[in-house]
Amino acid sequence: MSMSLRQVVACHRNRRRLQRFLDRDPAAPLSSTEMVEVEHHLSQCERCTGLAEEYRALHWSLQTWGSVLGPDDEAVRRVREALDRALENEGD
Amino acid sequence: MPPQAGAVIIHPTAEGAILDGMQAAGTASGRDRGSAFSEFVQPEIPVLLRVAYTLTGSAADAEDLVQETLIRAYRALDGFDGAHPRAWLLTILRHTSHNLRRRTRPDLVGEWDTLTDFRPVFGARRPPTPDDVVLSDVLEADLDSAIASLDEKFRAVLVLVDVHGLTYAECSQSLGIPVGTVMSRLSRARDRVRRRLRDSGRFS
Repeated sequence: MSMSLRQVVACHRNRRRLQRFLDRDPAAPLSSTEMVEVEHHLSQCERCTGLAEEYRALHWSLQTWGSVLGPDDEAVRRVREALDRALENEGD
Repeated sequence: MPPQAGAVIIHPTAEGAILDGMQAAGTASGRDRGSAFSEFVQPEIPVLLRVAYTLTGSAADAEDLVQETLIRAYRALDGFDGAHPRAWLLTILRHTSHNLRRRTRPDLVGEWDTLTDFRPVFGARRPPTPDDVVLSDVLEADLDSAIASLDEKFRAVLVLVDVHGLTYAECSQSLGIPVGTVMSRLSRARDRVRRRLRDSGRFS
């Protein structure tokens, strides 16, 4: 199935915004107009919807993986104790 | 101009209120000030350890780095404006890491084999659920391989943002690179890992 030039341009433009759209990071927000445009495009374009799903799946996989990789409680406790000792010395 | 120790400052944020408490405590005694500071930074310790681990590739070095960072933060407290405490701590962490590496000249950061080797020590926060076990069986080999294939600078951004959950700005502070660079590296890293996972049949 061939795509019209308009579709190609729309895909290109919205794919460039897709990660910012999914991340919702405060340092790089999309404008409300851009948000609506991406949402509208995703509602019509299967290929870009598939790409968005892959990004979501990747992000979820990495987050889940990271939840096992986090610092253990003992490491946090050791740092806290070291901090308390150091601050006591600083206060003396 | 940074506020003077003990000055009364009105902040609209909870962090600002804590900072006010620390500065007020600073007028009382060093010990009270230390207690207030400790209470303020303790919630950030897990994040600092995660970032330090990414920077050093070693659980032991990460702990040393965070301890040194917190001491330096305490000494630099009078120059802190209270606006973005995590970003402030991450900046000190990066500078401290840079100084310690320059002083001791350790191995290069980001050796993925080293990172994964340390997982049993650093990754024992909670026992895995049955879902985690199934998921890790499927994902670990593919993800390890895909992430290991990345250049170090791309891998660091991906790990800090997607694995450890830092914002673009926090990642920028941690690595000392502009937010725009974080975004471009993150985008490229995700695309490379996504394509590798797709090639291995993870995404169909």
